[in-house]
Amino acid sequence: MSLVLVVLAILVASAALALSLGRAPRPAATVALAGGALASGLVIAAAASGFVSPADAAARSVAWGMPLGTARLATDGLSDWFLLSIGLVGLPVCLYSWGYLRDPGAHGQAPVFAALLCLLLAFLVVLVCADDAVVFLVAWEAMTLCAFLLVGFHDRRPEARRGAWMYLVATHLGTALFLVPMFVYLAGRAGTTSFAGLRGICATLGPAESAVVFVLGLLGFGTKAGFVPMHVWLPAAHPVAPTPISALLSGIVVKTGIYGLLRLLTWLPAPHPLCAVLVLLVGTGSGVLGVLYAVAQHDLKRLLAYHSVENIGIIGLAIGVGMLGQATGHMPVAALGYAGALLHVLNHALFKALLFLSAGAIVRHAGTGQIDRLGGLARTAPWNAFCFLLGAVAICGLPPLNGFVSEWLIFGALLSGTFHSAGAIAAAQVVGLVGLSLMGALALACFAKVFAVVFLGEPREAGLPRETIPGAMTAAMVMLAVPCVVIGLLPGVVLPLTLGGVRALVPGLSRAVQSPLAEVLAPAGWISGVAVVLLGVTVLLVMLRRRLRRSDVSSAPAPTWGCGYAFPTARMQYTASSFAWDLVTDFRRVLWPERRWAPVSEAFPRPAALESHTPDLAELELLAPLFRGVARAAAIVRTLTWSGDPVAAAVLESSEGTCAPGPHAGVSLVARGMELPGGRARIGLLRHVVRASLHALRRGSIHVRLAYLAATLIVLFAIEAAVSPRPAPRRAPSPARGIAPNEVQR
Amino acid sequence: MNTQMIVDSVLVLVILLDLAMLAVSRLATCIRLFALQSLLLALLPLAATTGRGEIPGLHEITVAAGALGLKVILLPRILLRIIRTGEIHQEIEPFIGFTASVLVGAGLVIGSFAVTRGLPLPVDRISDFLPPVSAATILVGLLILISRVKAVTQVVGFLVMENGIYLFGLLLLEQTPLLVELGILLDLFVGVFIMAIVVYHIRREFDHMDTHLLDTLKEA
Amino acid sequence: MSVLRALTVLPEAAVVLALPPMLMSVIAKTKAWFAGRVGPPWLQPYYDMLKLLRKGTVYSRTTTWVFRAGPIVNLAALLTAATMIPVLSGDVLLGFPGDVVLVAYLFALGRLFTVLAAMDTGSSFEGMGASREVTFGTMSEPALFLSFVVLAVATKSLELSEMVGPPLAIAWKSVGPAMLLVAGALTIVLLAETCRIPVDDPATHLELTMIHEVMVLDHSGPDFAFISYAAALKFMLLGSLLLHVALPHAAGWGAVGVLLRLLELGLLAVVVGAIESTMARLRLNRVPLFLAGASVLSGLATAIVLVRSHG
Repeated sequence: MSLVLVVLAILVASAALALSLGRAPRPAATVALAGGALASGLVIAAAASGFVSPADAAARSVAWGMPLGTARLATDGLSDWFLLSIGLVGLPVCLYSWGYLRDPGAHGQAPVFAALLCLLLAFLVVLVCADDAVVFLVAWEAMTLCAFLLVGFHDRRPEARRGAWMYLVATHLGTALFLVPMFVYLAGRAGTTSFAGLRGICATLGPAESAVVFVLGLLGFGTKAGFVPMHVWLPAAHPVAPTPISALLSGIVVKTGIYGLLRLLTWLPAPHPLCAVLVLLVGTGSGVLGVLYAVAQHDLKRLLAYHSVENIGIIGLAIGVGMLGQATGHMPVAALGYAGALLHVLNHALFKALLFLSAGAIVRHAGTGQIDRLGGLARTAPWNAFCFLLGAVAICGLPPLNGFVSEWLIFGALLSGTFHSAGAIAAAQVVGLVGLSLMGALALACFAKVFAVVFLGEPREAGLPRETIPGAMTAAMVMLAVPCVVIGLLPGVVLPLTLGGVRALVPGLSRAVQSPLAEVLAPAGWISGVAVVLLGVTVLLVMLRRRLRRSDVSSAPAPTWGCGYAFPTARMQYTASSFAWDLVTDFRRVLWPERRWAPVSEAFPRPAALESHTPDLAELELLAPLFRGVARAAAIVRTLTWSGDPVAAAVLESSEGTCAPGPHAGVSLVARGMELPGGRARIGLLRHVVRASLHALRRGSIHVRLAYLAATLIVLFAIEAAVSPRPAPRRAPSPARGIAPNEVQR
Repeated sequence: MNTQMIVDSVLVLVILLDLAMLAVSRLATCIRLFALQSLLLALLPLAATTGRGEIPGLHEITVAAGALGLKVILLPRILLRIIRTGEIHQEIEPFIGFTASVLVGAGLVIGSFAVTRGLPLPVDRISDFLPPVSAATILVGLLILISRVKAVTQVVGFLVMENGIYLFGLLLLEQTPLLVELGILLDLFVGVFIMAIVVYHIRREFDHMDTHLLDTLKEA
Repeated sequence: MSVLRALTVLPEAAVVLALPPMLMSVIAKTKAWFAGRVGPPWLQPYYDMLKLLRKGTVYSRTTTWVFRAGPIVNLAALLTAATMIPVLSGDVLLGFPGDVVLVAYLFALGRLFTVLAAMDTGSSFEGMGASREVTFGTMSEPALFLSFVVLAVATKSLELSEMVGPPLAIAWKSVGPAMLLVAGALTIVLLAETCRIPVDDPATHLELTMIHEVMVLDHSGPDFAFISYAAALKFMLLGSLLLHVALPHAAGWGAVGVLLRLLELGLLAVVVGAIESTMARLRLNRVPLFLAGASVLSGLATAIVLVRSHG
């Protein structure tokens, strides 16, 4: 525990030092970032010491008196695991920031950046070690503020301001509407704010109360984590943030939502199966929708942001399975699910940070993150290409890297959960399984697209810059790639480390009953074996290929075979949009892509153009109308209560760019920001459907009447099935039934 | 391969034919698939009784023969004849795409598996797939009825629904009087006969049989 | 024990490794028979491969190391998967609970590198093929996993050699219809993943309509030999998975079972050849419907198995 305090001291001191050395920006930033890196290293050490010697509670907690009560910090297996993630990502991020801040544009601001980064890390550490609701919430808010300031670091750009505001509004709404009521309710019942007290009171809650508490927590923490449909801030904030911050945001800050959810689960003794199914389905939905939107994106960092939504979905799915296992009393399933969730938290932090850092290096290298303008970067930035490929293979969940291990655990949990349960619970797990397999395949399609279009082939646009990538950036990427490979190759070593966290989540799984768990995790060693086989076969084939090449006589380079066309140009290559279009049209009933097309016509054609967009439906159809409604209601309230000139209020509200003061500024800004560019009002999908069917009804369309009839029948049928008493349990059909049951009766 | 498995397989085949009817894009194929489904259903009561080691009684034979004659031979003939003489284009025009309707259909099938488990039904039935399969067939028939433009496909949808109801009737085969069964068959025949005539005349009068456009007819 | 096992495993592994081109030959012979031709000699695929292995290679100026890694990683992934899939006998070299997922993801790894190698050439035709490959791969993945669910629930096992082994023969008796549906779904997956008619036509001459063949247009020499061998291997692996599901052998058939499997694999190749000779390729926009059909079949099978096994 003392190590954690040392870490906090170092981080705060570095931040203070950076701010006070404002005269010499570069040394100040260097010192602060070195402090941050040192602290991250110590965080890893603290987590490791937790894994090595899970000491008694007294040695792992610290408390001191504060004006508002007692501040308590404590670590357990869950905190250790998240500390490990923070350290493993924080270290390369500090290193990368050092290279990133060499950009002359950001020179003067460098110390502020470094100081905020240190503070962000400090509050993250406090957050996962908090043992008191007040400390937790203060750290939560401070972390949000630091992240907000860092996301808006390039505040000259309007989209950076918009992204930062969306982040702040989204997480504040989540906190204010759901988390604060939850904590107030629990603390009010318990009479104390310490986590031990809250856990005690949670054990006494009835099923309905605990379900309400859980759903509040899911909504509040889910906003931070970015479950669909609360994910809209992710694709807005990630692309505009400075690259190291995107990596930290996606790798760690988003995971604090998951941490909160898991912390809440350690208090609630036995989750209701319906809550578990809810989490499972929300996770599946987030995952599939996130990756589908990612496939349709054109901007590299935005695409990665949608992949964060996907991976958060996978984690949610795993948590859901774990909860189901707990609810139905199958501890191995619960252990597999939670272990998969925890491992995926770390894995996603690693490979997503790697991908973001690599993407940022591309933006630095080629001056743009628009996928369709890039191409052929593997030759000018080979290390970057290699690191990105590693990250891509890992995020697709392919062996032999780390992503596979966690997805394998989750698949195992889902499959074994399916044959330990029945009815709706089994069906939910099958849905999760199908979703997970679909996510894997879609992620593969997406990263095949990104890697191929950005790094392979010929450059699509001549005249893009080719800046050199600083060595610090490459080193940071390698530092993230190494653990990806290690976890992938040696899951048998890493998996037992999750047990501390799993034990915190499943109290029934005490140290004495470790054997079923060990049995469940035992096959992990086989993965190493298969990975070794895979690498061995690859090496053998490479050697065979080398030997064959010795007899080569005509390995002369030549142009790509153009299928008979003699003058191919780089502009004719398949683009990312065309690569993804098949998939996007196959899922058009989910994504509703837009395609604007001026076709080539007439004898002397005018310039033709084709553009495709895939707007986020959750943003346009659900949240934008909601926010607009809230803003309108707020305006009404303001005209009612404000004695001044209502016109002035309206003007104040509509002044773009300047952040209007007042409590509703953020809301209206977000609401306005969600309008499509160009001021074209989009007729919403839902409204379109409703309007069309109303119209058809009014006209008396026979199909709509029939549909109405069908819907009524189905509803009646379902009600009948639900209301009528279940028949007595049927005889189990014997496997080899030679005679029909009727005969038995006679 | 005992009787139980044969009956189960036939019922699963019935579901697959339901989905195939949603997937095919040609009218004539769709009608032939319906004929095949009806053939399977007509043979089902006979197979079930022989499976129990009994000789099929008059009741079963009459029902099977009626279904065979009407739904396997007569009605498909009438419909195919309309297509031929009415010079109707072979393509089915769906409101919902083929892939989407197959997926919706699959959802309906799985839904009926979930829903019918709770229904209070006689326990001694020939197969415990019977209630879900009949519910699924009724729902898919409705789906065909709703989601297709042409009048002929709506007739097919109606017939598929009837197949589902027939399956449901098999649950109570022993209890249902023969007269009721025959009455249903007669109703069906008359219904389709009238529809066939109407479809033929729609086609003659308006040169198309798109029911979608019929909505706009108003008495001037 | 280990010596004995090695004695039985090694010859089988040798046969399994030597077999795939022969299956391609069977398909070619069947197609020739349908067309009224004599067809190439039985050993022609082996001659082709040997010749390719001795040839030089031409690399496009556009390509990078990814292009050269593609065929190697693809073949390595499939060979690794082959250690976990029972082919002739029911035994496998490596088998552990959860290996089904690994097998599926090894196939995916091979697919990723094939696609990347295709995109590395910068040719828009190869891009088209790559795009279709990932699209159709996405569609067949849920069907494959749903089939795994059915097998897992029916046999209460997560180990592939168990899931398609003797317990399945018992499961056939109780949930036969579901198994039929799974066999249907796996057939569709087999045809789609190995790029056969009606999804893709391996013999077409128009690059615009190809999928697999257009992706490997630029490969030559030993690389192309690796690719053809990998394609044949994939056919054999998925085919034997299908056969183990569709025609489960009871335990203890021994050598008879192995010979029977050889025969069945040959028959499967004949059937695929017959399909190729008698059917036309589907229009590209009908392929998703075909693949969704596979998912629907296996989804239905899942519903049946879940209803039956929990009554």
